[in-house]
This record gives sequence, C-alpha cells and structure tokens, in this order.
Amino acid sequence: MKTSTKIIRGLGETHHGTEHHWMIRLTAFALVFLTIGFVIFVMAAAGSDYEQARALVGHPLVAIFLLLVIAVSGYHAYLGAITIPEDYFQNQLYRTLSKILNSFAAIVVCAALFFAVLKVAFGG
Amino acid sequence: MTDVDLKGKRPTSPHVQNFAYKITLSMATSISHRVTGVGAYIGLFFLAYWLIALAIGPEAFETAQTLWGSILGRFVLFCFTWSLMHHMLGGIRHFLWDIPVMIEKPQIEFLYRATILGGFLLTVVIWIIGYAVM
Ligand code: HEM
Repeated sequence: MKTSTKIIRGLGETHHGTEHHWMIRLTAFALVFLTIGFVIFVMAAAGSDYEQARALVGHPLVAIFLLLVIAVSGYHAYLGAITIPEDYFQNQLYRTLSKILNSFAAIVVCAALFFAVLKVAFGG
Repeated sequence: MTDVDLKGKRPTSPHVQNFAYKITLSMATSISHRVTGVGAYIGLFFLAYWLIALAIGPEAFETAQTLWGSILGRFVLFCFTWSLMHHMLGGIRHFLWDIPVMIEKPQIEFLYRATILGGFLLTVVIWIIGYAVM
C-alpha cells in the first residue's frame, strides 16, 4: 500500500488541521509575551482615574500594544474554541451552529475592542 | 470453551464501568487547559466592557472602575489572573513537547506539577506586586 503524502497532507476532517495546529502555536507563542505585557498594563490601569486611564490607553505605544493583544488573542481564542464542539458534538447541526456562534462572538468582541481603543487613542 | 460467565459478570466496555479510569494529572491538566482557555475568551468580554466604558465617558468609566475595584471585582480578577497564568504555562508545556523535550514519564509528571504549582505561584506574585505598586 502506498499513499502519497502529497495527497493526504493537511487533509484531516476539516481539511485544515495542519494550518490550525500551526496557527494556534504561532499565536500562542506571541501571546506569552503579549500576556506578560498585558498584566503590566492592567497593573498600571488599576486604580487610575478617567484622565489617567485615557492618557494611558491613548498613548500610541500602549494603543498599538493593545491592538496587537486584541488581534492575536482574538484569533487564538477563535481557533482554540472551534475544537471544543468538534470534540463534544456528534450532531452536525450543533457543530455548525456553535462554530457560527464562535465566529460571531470572536468578531463582535474584537470589533468592539478595536473601536474602543481607537476612539480613546484618537481622542474622540 | 473459554471460561466466561455469560449470566453474571459479563465484561463491559470500559466507558460503562464505574471508575474504569483513574483520574490522572494528564486528564486534569488537559481539561483545565480547555476551561482556562474559555475563561480567557470570556476575559476578552470583560476587557471590552472596561475599554468601552472608557470610550463612552467619565461616568461610565467610574462605574466600571468601582465595579472592578470592589471585593467581588477583585475576586473575579484574581481568579482570572490564575486562569491566564495556568493556561500560559500549559501552553509553554505544549511547546516543550512539540520540540520535543521533557517527554520521559518522570519529566512529564514533573511538568504537570510544575505548571500547576507555577500557575498559583505566578498569580500570588503578580498580586503582591500589584498591591505594592498601587
Ligand atoms: C498566555 C499565552 C497563551 C498561551 C501560551 C496559549 C497556548 C495555547 C495552546 C498551545 C493551545 C492549544 C492546546 C491544544 O493543542 O490542545 C491553546 C488553546 C486555547 N487557548 Fe490559549 N494560550 C494563551 C493565551 C490565550 C488567550 C489570551 C486566550 C483567549 C483570549 C486563549 C484561549 C484559548 C482557547 C479557547 C483554547 C482552546 C482550548 C481547547 O481546545 O482545549 N489562550 N492555548
């Protein structure tokens, strides 16, 4: 029996398992550093009043950093959560519905986060 | 004839037997990695609340700040800190095994213990620093 690797490579159930595995590792690696920075950010923001918090989030470097945190963790969370219904649901309808819900939730929360940071940063 | 008691104790599939599996550290950390991953996902919504409140204006932000500064708010943040640290260390453990290093049985057990302990340790250290600088 001979199977051409060329044919089967990357073809799991969803046809992009390899890419999923690689992207979740890539985002996770970046998140180690982003998370450490984020913890420092929360410490700086804790107990600050309105003006201080706006100055902090509005600082270009902090704003760029937060946008990175949002983008990378949003993508990582989206990729990570998608495997959960794949593991627990046999029913194709439930699987599809929970994947749609995951996509919507991730995009909505990221859009809201992006807009909030940009609004503060641009001083609107 | 094989000696099988077909009337009394017939063999059952492992998943039907009670306590067929001993709960191992690997099971516990596997599920806790998943639960803390979902916890971090929910954390994005918490962050969104705080940032949107900041974008809306002073009153909304004061409410958010008071909420997160309350005992309940701090408790949630404390649990969230642990969740994130536990998940991060679990992820780093995955990296080690991807390389792969530390894949011998005793090293595996050591890593499970180290990541569990490390999660609590980092959480406490972060909060000590947090209170010190506030
Ligand atoms: C702090 C750095 C982080 C690291 C090193 C990390 C690492 C990982 C890794 C390696 C996986 C895959 C586990 C597997 O293959 O079974 C994973 C899964 C996951 N991560 Fe993260 N992660 C981090 C932060 C985050 C954040 C910030 C979020 C959410 C906003 C998140 C949400 C998830 C979710 C939902 C899963 C899926 C859990 C599962 O399928 O069981 N992670 N993480």
